[in-house]
Amino acid sequence: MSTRPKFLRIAVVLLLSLGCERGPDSGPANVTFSRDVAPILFQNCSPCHRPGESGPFNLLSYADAKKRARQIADVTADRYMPPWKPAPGYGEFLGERRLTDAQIQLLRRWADLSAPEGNPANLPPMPIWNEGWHLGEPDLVVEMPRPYSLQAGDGDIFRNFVIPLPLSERRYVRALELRPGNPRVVHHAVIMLDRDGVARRQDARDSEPGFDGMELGEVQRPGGHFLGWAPGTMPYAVPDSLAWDLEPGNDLVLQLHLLPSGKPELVQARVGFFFSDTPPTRSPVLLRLGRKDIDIPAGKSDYVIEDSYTLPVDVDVLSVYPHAHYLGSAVEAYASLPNGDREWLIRIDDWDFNWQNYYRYAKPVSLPRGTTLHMRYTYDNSRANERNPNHPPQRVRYGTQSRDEMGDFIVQVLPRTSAGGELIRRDFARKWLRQEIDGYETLLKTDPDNADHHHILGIFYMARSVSAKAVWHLREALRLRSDFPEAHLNMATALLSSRQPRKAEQHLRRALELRPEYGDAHLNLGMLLGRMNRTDEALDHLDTAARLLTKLAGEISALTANVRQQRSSRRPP
Amino acid sequence: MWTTTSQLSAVLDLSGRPIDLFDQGRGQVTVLIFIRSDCPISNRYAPEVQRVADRFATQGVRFWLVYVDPDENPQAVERHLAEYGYSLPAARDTEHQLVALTGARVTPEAAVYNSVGSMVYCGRIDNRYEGFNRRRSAPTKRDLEDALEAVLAGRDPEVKRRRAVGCYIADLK
Repeated sequence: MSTRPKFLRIAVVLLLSLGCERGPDSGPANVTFSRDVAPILFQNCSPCHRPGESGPFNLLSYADAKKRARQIADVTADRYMPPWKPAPGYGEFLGERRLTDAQIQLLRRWADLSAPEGNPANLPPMPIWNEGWHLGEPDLVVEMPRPYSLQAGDGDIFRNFVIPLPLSERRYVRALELRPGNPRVVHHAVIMLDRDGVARRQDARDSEPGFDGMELGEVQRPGGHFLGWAPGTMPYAVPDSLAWDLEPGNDLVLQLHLLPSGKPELVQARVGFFFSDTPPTRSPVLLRLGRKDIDIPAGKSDYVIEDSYTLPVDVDVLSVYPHAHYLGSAVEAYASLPNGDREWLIRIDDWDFNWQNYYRYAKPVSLPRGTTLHMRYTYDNSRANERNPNHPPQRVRYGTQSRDEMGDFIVQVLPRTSAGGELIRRDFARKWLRQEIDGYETLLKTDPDNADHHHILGIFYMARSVSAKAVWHLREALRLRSDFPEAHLNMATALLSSRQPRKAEQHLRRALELRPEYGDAHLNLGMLLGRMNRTDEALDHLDTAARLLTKLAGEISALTANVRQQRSSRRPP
Repeated sequence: MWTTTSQLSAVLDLSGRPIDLFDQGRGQVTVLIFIRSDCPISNRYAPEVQRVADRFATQGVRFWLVYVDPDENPQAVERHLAEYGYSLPAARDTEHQLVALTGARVTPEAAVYNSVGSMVYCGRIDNRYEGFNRRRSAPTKRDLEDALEAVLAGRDPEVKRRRAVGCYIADLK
């Protein structure tokens, strides 16, 4: 009698421990590929894990999946796959790719059971994917002029490619779709527009296609829109009313983050444009919150930056784009409504620069005037952060290179009225300028001999009409680097506003010695000489400017007409 | 050790004949690199594996690429070797006999045998990957090279095993 209960108890313990090894109890005990796993994979994995797409192997069949059963269980449990960074419940976005906890447990259980196939008759139908362009046949397709050959080496590459756009008239773009060409090495892409030929000049510096670097300087995001590509993201068409314009002479700049595969690869991306026939009636505004006074001590694991901005008008938030580099560890942003409520805009608990993306709300987030937008980023500059590019950790400040840090939170808003649009643009420009000046003053404290920083500060002080400070910083920039054509040009402008035309003329002439085809310098010198009544010389420079700055043709021809009239009115009858 | 390893009847060369990797390099340090052609992590390591093999070639270290996917036929292996620029000899471990012998878990993973045929290290090549999702831009610890330097200097490596990150070999059974 006394021994039987003991046996029973042992048997119960054994059963419990078997249960534990199989993981938490949820879902059917007998998990098969055909009935249970295939529906999850087809829906969430196969769109990228199929030939021609970005997944590095296929997940289309039982054989494909069985060969990676444990790997699938691990990467989904980590939520590394499918790649989707925002935390659930902190903003609802289009294209969300997230498995449920039950799905993740089911994949683990299937791997633990040695990946049984089950009855193939239970397989769901394979989805039918749109081959080629997702949005249909584009109105215009452009391609990188030459393929880029990516070496087999092991580092990440950031390379910018300039694609001239063959346009004879202004077009309005409602969608753009990138086909990366070699999606298995293109990790993500940022797409910008160059309206001034800056990127073309950078590209010309070496004979290889494109140029290196992470930041694109003066190149812009067109008309208040984010354009980019990441594995698995679907292209998105805006309503015609929000289309953005392309002008003849504009270049597309593709910044590709390339991750070598282990063998030499060729990359030649294509971009398809989808046009609208009518000009836009409204335009979104990009509000760039963030800090430039970032200064993270070596080893600090919880460095925090914050910024905020109070909306002067009612807006709808369409999308957001968080940006930090490799030390960034967490991103939080929310709106404080006038009634005291908090509306989360986004939260990313494990920021990963490699998976940066822009996020478009499933429904625009309506925020009334008086709402304050807040951003709070955390950085980990300790040894424990594997992504830390410095070993051992170093003090890291704001900068655009990958070893520097950034902390931008760009919010795309659509003001309710066009008057509201004007108001928020002006209001935000004041905040932005204040912040830029503070940021660059901070940067100069630790790096007082940086000519670029002096140059930019000179421009910002000019924008705030503080000419004495503007002239001082531009003089510093030129003392540190005398062959700096842009600084000579801006110095001339600063000197003109403090009524020193002779000195201004010398700087413009110096800028043209340094860069004879500098359209802006010809234009400014033409205007200055016109004002000094040296009309013949003025007309020469305006002609050259008209040739170089085609997009300003209208304005320049009006100026030219004025100078001609001025010349004829001075002539004796 | 020699007798054990010569029992590996299902380790095949690219013409399909059984091959004893250790007998070929008797008296030499031998490195086995476990790989498969469709594992993105082991593929990304190709230039590094070749670099380390080249560095130690003059010191008499023999490298073998061990393909662990039984579905990869010799033609697929040849094609993979050419595509990834490998100039190393390859073998196919069709029944995971070498996997069992070394205890390797993933691709890529390295096993180092000293000149008397004892395994002195098995694990990651370096610490570039801490997890699928946690990648260093450059390694700060190169475990395979450290192990080879130690064994050539007549020492044991500081650790015998280091967890590697990659594609599970057990998934191929």
